[in-house]
Amino acid sequence: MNDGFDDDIAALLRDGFGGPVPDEGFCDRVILQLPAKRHNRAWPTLVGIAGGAAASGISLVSAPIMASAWNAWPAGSSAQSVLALMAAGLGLSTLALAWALAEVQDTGAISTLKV
Amino acid sequence: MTCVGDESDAARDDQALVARVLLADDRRAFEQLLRRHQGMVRAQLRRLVRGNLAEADDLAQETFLLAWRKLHQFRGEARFSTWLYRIAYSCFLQARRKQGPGAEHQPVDLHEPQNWPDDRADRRLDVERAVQSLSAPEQAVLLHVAQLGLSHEEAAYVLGMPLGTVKSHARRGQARLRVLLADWNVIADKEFGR
Repeated sequence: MNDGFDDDIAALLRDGFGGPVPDEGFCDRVILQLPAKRHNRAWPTLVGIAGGAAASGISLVSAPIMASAWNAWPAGSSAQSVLALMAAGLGLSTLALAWALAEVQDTGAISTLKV
Repeated sequence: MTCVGDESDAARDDQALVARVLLADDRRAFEQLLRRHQGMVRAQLRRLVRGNLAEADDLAQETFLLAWRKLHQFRGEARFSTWLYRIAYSCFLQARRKQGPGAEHQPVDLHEPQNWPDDRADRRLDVERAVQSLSAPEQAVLLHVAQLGLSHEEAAYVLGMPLGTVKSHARRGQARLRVLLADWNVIADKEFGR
């Protein structure tokens, strides 16, 4: 028993506690309800990320906006191309942050139950 | 009352069963876990929902289905039973939130079919009434510490409360019960041979 816990009170409380509940078919009902386990495979996500990054890179490298921003950025210019790229970067970072937070919430605790 | 050695053996068995479920997707191992723990989880929920047996069993079923889905999140830092109590308590809180504020004040069903001597039945009624006069957090702490046999630290984990808060609820709850049940303490002293 915990330190500082009154044995008399604990005895009275335990006396009023019915103890474990008999099964009476409960386990069989639960077993019937168990869904198949979902296996979270990492490779589709990784392939998707790699494929998306490669496609973005290829399309951006050949786009004139990239060359324009590349030249304007070191000069400290706030050209439209630089602003557009910064906005795109900010948007992607925000999306990535939201995704990461959602994943942490799901895996770091028992979903929304705060377990 | 179980001794420490039994508890650590049981915890080791639980860990082994959890490993079998996770590594081999072994449903029979989960069934064993279920059979080992259903009795106490359902007892916990019956106390929390104040004797509403159907609701307690629904919540217990929800608890074990969640445990099945989220078993990979069990890190073994707490005992498996404690982890289950935590899920069960969270399911209970979520159900209460859905039901609204009036749901907490349902009377306890004290009419379980048990053939106890009158004296014991009277005592049980008085204990129940005294417990009901406590605040909800005090009741929850006393249930987990005195009746389910958790340590203060485990109760804090299950209830999601700071350790100091658990201890102060336990202290206040006991002080109140000591006053309310003073007469029964004298009888219990004789009965339990103290």
